[in-house]
Amino acid sequence: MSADRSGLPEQKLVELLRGGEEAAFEALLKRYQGKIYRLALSVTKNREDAEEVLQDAFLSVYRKIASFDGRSAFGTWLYRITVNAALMKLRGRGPAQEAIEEYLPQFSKGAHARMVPDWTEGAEELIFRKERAQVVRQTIDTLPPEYRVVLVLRDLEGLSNGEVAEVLGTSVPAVKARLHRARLALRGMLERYVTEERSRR
Amino acid sequence: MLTCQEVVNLLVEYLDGTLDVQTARELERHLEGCVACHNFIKTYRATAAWVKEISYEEIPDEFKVRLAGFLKAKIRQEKAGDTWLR
Repeated sequence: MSADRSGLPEQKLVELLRGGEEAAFEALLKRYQGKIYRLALSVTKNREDAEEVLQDAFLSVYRKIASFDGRSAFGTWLYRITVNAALMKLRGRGPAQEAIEEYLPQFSKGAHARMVPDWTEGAEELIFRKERAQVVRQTIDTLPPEYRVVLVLRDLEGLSNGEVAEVLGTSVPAVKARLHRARLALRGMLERYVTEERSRR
Repeated sequence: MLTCQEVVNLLVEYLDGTLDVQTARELERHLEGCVACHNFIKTYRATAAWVKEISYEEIPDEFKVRLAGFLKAKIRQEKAGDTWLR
């Protein structure tokens, strides 16, 4: 039986893994598998795919640990491997995403093209909190994956713009722009949902 | 004076608190006189807050076991030099 490494700091575990220590790999796996599963699930929207993504991602960690230069945190590197594996999985499925343009705000000569309703007013009574989380999750699931992943990394996993940029291999301004578009689209989708729900009841 | 479109484009930075003071003040001045933007920012803010309430299922225990087993087997294979099995 190998040594229990679960109490060691991450940097030490990475060092031991570089030396080929399996117990260190196991400790890193245990530390990250929950987060990585959520991330994979948020991108693929499918348990079986998420499971395969985790297999691929952790195997890549084992194989490529020598090329991990330590400039970014291990977690960021692992997120990056996971996002790439998850997006690759989706690519095999072909395009089936909803276009977001129709949910973005429209302007005419720089001004809102139509009056924007405050649909949050009374929304608390209309959709209960638990139901609301479900609605938001389902709505996020209809966003294109590259938008979904930014929302999950920033707003759920709590990464900074800089960390998200590292994970996605892009710049901070690009992350901000994508986050903004994702929120704009989601806002538009929720507006439609709440408005329709209100007229139904 | 900022236009509605400019206000909307500045929202990420405004809500992150990274907008420079001067521009933030202009944005707030615009909000005071524009109901559409006032409602827009309120609903945009709610959207961002609601995202934080969602959750994804926990990793199933049986999958943890399968994953550990899969990785162990792969590593053993690779250590044995059976790389052609990949």
